[in-house]
Amino acid sequence: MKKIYRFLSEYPSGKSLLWLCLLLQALFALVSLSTPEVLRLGTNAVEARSADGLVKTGVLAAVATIVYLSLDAALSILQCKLQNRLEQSVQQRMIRKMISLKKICLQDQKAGALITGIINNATQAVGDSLYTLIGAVEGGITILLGIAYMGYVEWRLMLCVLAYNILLRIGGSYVEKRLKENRKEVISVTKTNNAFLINLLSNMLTLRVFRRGSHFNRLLQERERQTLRTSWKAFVWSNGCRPDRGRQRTPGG
Amino acid sequence: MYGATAAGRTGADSERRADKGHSAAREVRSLTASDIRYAFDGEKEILHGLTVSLKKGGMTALVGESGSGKTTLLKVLMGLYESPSARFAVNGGSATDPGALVAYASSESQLFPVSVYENITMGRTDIPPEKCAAMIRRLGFSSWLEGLPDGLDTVLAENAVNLSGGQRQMINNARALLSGRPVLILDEPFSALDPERQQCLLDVLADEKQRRIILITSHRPDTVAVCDQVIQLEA
Repeated sequence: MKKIYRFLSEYPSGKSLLWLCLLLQALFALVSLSTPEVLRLGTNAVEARSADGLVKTGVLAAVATIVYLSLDAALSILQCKLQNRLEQSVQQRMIRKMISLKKICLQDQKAGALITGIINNATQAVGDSLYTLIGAVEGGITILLGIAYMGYVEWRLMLCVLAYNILLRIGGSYVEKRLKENRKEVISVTKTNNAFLINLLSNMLTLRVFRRGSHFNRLLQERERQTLRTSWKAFVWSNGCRPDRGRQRTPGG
Repeated sequence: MYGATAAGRTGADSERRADKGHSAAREVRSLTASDIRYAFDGEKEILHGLTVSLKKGGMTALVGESGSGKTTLLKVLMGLYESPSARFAVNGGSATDPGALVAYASSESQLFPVSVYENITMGRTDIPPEKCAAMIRRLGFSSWLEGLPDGLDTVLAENAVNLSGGQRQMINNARALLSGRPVLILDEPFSALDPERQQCLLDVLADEKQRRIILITSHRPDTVAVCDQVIQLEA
């Protein structure tokens, strides 16, 4: 996250906007918490048969909705503006860097493909970084405010949720680590086994002369099974930890 | 009649028959290929009714300029290219599949990302590791063998990038020499070797030529000089 922040804040044109975005995001998270509070006040007012309480709740709900929608709109506009500015800055920086590259790096590239590549890369880098940072800030603030709100309503519940979240975090880190390891393993095994196949094809002459095609074909099949096993393991880990696992496809299709 | 019929040349059967070349090593005294014609896509003919006669007890050098058809001739002899007009004879009797008798050492890297042992034996189990190690030593690569982290079980990197040109060539040569096949075709077998190891290979070949037919392609006059017969191809 630090790296993402450093990357985004490197561009002076977007730094103040970025902070404004993060601030609004924090406010947005705070206002989102008004929903359970409005519900709680409303329920209390109904239980107490208090017309005054119901009016207050209604006013609070209306204000919260207006603030919520306003913040949402402001955030969308700000994020769009910030993203555009950052994209421009990143593109300009990439072009400056590209101009300073040696000729040999550019001679095989067509100008159009190069510019499209720069624009796509800048858009993806900025988009991914921005939404990851904002999402992380929003998530963190929501959790903190949620815990604080729970402490205000029922401190024992807060302790339970806190303990549950700590366990969830530890478990999540472990699962994330395994997922990362599995992904790396799949990439490594696939790369090695594809290279083996390419090697067989380029050494076909020797295989044919010595008539050992069947033996190396068996080796290739073993490697293919290994690739499949690794992919399945990664698939099971990945989809076992996803809430939408029912919709996921198997590695085979 | 030597070799297998064309219909049964693929798969494990063919491999088993090819492995029998080891036992046939002492049986092949001569290999003659006559009326070899070959044209790519039926157009320009590269080999024009060539006859090649190879005999045990001597080494034959195949020389010729680039484009003279050396590689094509080798591929016909190995059974990789089909020359419909060609007739093959082993020890005077007709043969349908002389390729089953041929072992080949390429001048290019033809190595696989498997162990050194498996690269040499090509997965055959009837060649003991001791025999492989002995051949590597005879070819002058003792110190390299001692330095391998897992000995013969050391797995080669992709495209054998962890080996020098000489080491790659040595494995190609050792593979052909240990195959037990009675006809050895070595393509520029000395090109990546230093003088000391060239001599080692020459010593091994001098010994092997008593038991096998050896055909060497080379551009080097010193290699041609040690051969007993020279086949000159004209472009």
